[in-house]
Amino acid sequence: MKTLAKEMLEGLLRDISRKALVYCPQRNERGDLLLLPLGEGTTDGCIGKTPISAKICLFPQIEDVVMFAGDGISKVTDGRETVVFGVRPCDMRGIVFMDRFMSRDNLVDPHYFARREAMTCMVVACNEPPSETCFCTATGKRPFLTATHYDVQFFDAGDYFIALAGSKKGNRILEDRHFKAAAEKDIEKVKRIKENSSAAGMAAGELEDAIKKLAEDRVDGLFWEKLALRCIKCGGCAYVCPTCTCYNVQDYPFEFGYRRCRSWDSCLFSGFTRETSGHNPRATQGARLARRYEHKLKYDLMKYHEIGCVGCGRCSDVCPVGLGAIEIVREIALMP
Amino acid sequence: MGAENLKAAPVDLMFQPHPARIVRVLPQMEGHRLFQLRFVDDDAMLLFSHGPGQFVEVGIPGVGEAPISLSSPPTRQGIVEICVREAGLVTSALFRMNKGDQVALRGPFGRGFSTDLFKGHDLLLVAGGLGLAPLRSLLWTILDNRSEYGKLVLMYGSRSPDDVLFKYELLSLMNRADMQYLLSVDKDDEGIWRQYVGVVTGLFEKVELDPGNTYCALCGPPIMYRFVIREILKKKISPKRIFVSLERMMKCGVGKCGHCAIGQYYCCTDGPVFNYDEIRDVKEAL
Repeated sequence: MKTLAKEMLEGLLRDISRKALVYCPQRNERGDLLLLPLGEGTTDGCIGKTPISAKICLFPQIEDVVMFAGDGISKVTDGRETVVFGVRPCDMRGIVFMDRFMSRDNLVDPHYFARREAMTCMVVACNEPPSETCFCTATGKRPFLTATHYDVQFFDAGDYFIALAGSKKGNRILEDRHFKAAAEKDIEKVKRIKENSSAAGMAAGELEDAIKKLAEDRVDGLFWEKLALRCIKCGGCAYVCPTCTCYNVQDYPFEFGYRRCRSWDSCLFSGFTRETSGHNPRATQGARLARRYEHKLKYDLMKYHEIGCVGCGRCSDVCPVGLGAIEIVREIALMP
Repeated sequence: MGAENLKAAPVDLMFQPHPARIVRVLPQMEGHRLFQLRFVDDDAMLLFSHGPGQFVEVGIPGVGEAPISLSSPPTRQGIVEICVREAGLVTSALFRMNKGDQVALRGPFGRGFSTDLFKGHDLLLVAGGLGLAPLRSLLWTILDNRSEYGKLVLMYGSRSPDDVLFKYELLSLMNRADMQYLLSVDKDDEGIWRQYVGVVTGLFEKVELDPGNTYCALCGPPIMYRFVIREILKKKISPKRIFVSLERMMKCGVGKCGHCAIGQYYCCTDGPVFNYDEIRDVKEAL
């Protein structure tokens, strides 16, 4: 256990950035708080909850997977050392979820794991929920990590952070000159933060009720079709989701040939399942909306004994028509 | 950014496309061709081993990739055969290619038909339209090891006499004593068809199946399954003995891109061949 004075944070990140690409929450020119490479925005000490989760550092919106140049075909992987500061506990759970999915059945995604193995996650636990839509407590989790999936976990102790390492990579980070030894009282402080933190943007009973109804197939097509009348098919909920990994693949020309790229896709788009013949096995928007929630709250639970929602509330933050997880879970819970 | 060199990397047929040359193009009926492919790299060709019912991702740089089922049986290695309908961007680009041209292949992917399970049992194969393409792989796997299997029935339904795939190849099966080959066409406007006219389910009157010993393998358009399965169940064959090959937009082939999800399954890794009993209650499956 070490401590880091808050004014030392930038110095620490600068030290790390000599050897690695560092992402941390920064404001862009429009004032949006985003995980950007150090120096690409301005820091104001706010860690907050970035609208797009730390997924973007690992599974970017668009990336090359294959290059065709002349007769040569090469697989593209990006293994640059990357350190991300400001990963929220929900984001980290999302990453652990993606790790399992991206390596399931021994089909290990080389593009994902090249980045993942070169990535160091510096998690910042939440004393207070960063926004009113946070509901990790309702998913049975807490706004800090107990299992050591993180490399470093920071606890906010006012004018300084208390840092705990969860891996060898994390231990190396804590060796940086900006850290100081922790005192006896810091152990007590972490304990108190843990006891007092929660994020209850959704009542726990609602989520349990919705999960049960979905498991029992009590939510019918008409329910979804009615809700889907509001959906504008923007795909925003999937893009910001820490566990959504569906992607599309397309080829683009470049000066030596073609790049095959994958980019975020969403099951809410009508073309997502449409086949060349024109046949679409998921033909209506209601069926697509149902798919999104059944996947996360029913099928993931069946397969992994864990729902595919980390309770970050980003979909509810971003949806322009109020069809995020919080609203949908509430609608299901209200059903007779 | 590190690009792995193909020569230096171990052979990865799942995520890395490998160049394959078109060895021969055999025209089938209108808009359908059988392409014979061979990996340029011998190591890739040696490593490529598939089962009937599996598929490959056929890529054309600058156009994209399409999932295509394998039509050749694993008993005949060295050549990869795919039967293709000209339909979308990739298949149209493929139709503009000729002998000697190169494509980029990945695969084989998915779960195919379990020939180990089928061995020693009677088999009913039911194909509709282009659904014959993957079943041809199973058919020849059985015929190449004929003594290992029991009674064999192939039912094949086409739209019209002009729409029969592998017409001459399968014609030779008509005279075989060790199998029953039944054909149907939905309609025969010119009155030239000497076999059954009507939907494929009409052929069930002509066969006797041992319900305790028969496995069924189905592949056809989505509409076909419900009706054919009903006929099979009428013959008292258990749902556990029925295997169906499903079609979805399988973009990545490795269970990651999400397009082919059916309930808790991914068509590209858990399928495309499913046990009917496993998926009959799964939403969106049939």
